[in-house]
Amino acid sequence: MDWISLILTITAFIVIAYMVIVGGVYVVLFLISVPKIYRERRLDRSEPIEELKTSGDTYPVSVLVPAYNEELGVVSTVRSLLALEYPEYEVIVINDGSKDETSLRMIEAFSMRRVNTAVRRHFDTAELKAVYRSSTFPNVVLLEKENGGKADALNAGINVSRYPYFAAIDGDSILERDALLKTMKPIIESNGSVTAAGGTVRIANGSTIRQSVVERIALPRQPIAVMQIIEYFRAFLIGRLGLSRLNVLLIISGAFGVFEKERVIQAGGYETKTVGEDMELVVRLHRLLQEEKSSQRIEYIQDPVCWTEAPSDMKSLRSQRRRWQRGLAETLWRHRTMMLNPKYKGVGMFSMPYFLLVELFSAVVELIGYAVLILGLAFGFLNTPVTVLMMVVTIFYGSLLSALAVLLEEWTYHKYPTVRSVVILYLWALTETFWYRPVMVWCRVRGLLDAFKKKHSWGHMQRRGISSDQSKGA
Amino acid sequence: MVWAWWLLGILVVLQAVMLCYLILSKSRQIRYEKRKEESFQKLLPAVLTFSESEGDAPELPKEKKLRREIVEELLDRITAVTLESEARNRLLGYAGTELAPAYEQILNKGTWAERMNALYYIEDFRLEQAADMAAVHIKEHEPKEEEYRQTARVLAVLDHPEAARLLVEDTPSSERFIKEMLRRLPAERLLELVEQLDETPEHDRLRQALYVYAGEQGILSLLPYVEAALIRENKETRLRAMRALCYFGHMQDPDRAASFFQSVHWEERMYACKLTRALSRESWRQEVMERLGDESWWVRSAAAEALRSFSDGEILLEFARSSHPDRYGRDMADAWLSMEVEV
Repeated sequence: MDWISLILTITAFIVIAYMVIVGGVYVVLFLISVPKIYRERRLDRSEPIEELKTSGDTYPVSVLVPAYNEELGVVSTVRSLLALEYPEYEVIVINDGSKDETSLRMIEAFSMRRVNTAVRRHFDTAELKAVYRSSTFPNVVLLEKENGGKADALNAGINVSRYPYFAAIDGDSILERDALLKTMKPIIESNGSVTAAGGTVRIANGSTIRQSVVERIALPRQPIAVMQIIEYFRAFLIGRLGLSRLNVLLIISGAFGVFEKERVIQAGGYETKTVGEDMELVVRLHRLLQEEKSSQRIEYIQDPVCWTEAPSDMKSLRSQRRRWQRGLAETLWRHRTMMLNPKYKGVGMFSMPYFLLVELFSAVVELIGYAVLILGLAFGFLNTPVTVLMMVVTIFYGSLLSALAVLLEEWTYHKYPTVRSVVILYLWALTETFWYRPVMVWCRVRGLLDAFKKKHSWGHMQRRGISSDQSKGA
Repeated sequence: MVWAWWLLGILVVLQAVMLCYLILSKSRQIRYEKRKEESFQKLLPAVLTFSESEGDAPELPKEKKLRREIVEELLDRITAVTLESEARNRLLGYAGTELAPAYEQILNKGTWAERMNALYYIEDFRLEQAADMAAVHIKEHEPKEEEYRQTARVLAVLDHPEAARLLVEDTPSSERFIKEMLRRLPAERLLELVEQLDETPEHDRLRQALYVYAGEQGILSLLPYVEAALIRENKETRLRAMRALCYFGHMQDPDRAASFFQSVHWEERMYACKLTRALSRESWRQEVMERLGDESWWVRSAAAEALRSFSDGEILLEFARSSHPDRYGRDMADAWLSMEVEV
């Protein structure tokens, strides 16, 4: 049996080395993020955008809201968008062939009337059946089209939009009132050198939301929702900020992002044949910018600008993560020629390998790690020091960075108002390695298998409704 | 083996230290916010009374940071709703006495965020006492820095001579930023600026921003300069002047713009159409109708929009839809006729 022990020991060392490297990458990203967060931590967040509220030089924006069977939330979403602080914008709701009364709710709530309008067809989409404009809010438009998926709906929205920039948001996202101002600020101040920008997305579960405004921030009761809050801290405050500072950010969240329309049109719009259309578009934009040797860049702002409902049951979470993993795999495969290609500079040489080795394959390596650990301990194939070392590394890898992310959040926005909330977040962060991470690893491996099998499934998310007025409506 | 336990121990200690730090800093922050809110509520009526009468200023907390932040918050909230000028001036005078020394210290020794906050408040409260301080401070920074730009805004809002010097001698590269400064300067300073401009490219940028800003704000004293710019050599300057005239909606000599219908630059032909609409020059209908068949989509679109704005616009577009000699002109007329028609 010595050879089994040898194989397991070698595998264990490979897994350890991998985790040390990945942990090191995260630490480097953390160290890149910290100076910016630390520098801005006491900055008054409202003063820098004051000027943009009234300036005629603030570029107008079209806000695109794809909606599929959103009759419960669509009206409150649009109302929250109408409360945005921004000098000039339009809200375009794209009813993507809903089977419920999404359109009717919109038509009734905003006195919408059908109009004939000239539409520039930048992209082919599923048939556009009708365009409505509100008679009470002339900047609210409703498109009715045949079902074609989220990417197709966004493309239809771009076709109809009037303004040079558009914001893509999810139907259930709740934006902070100054979200557009904050996200457009780097674009405006760079005189267009920033071609796309995204901000931090926060999880609204547990918080009190009334009239589509987050009134009181609190933690949810479900541990999996708490863990996702910590995960989002880590992903946004460490991962995305670090990558953005290196100008190699490959993701702008589908929940909320702003794009220069002309660039997106040049890039070919949203890809309808992938489940990761948000990431795929950003990678394509990077590709276009590098091929053109353009100095434009894609930026991330660390301000929390958007709130979203996270899955609060394991089934929905599993389904979401499988989908994300599949989207990531499809995007990386589609753009595989960029991988380690010096022509694409940081994106090709760092970002793509990072997403492949860390974000995509880490699940496989970690699964192997768990298997080695369990087998080694159960059958005595592993010597104890190796096992202990693996556990230490795993704890370091999983929990410490999450705890650091909680610390960063407290340094910057300290949105959770009580000591208790912070302690709960911190303590849950420490438990991540023992239960949450193994489950996520399993889901991500399944997602990877789905990508290999080209399995097309959006899964189903059990929505409980995050807005109190929405819940009443339900 | 021992080293693994050491590593584990270090990690545990590290996590424990971080947790303690978090608990302590969060508790301290909550206590501080509570004290601040209590002081604010206590002082608000006193400061309001002080703004309306000649009485003494209310007594503030001794602690430096708390004192400054309370004054900032009080003034920020009160000046936002106090329009009566005497009360407002009294409050702003109070702000100067209370805050200027604190801001001087911050600008010299504070962190980046503290300095930026101080500069924002100096601007909000129009702290004249801080003007010279800002003039010195800006020399320590590079134009690409956010701190430089905010200091420049402060200088402009306080109408410090350094602001005009900066615009004329170190003209910023961004037109948007130049306009931000112009927005803060008094109107008479703009006239002085226009007269100082020479033919260098930097001044072209400043000139263009000035014209557009004058148009946006309808500053009639600058209208003759804007009109005169229609014959300038620099195309961008001519375009900005035309854009400004669209905002003005008025020209002393409209015929100066008529020649642009035949310009070799499509942007000028487009603006000629836009000007037709802005000036309501129905007498240019022939020229506009010709431009409906222009080779550029943008010119055709502006021409159709101008035609639609005429008193008989619908009839003109109907005529163009059926009889315009250019196929693209007929299509454009059709598109504008079917644009957003209720059904």
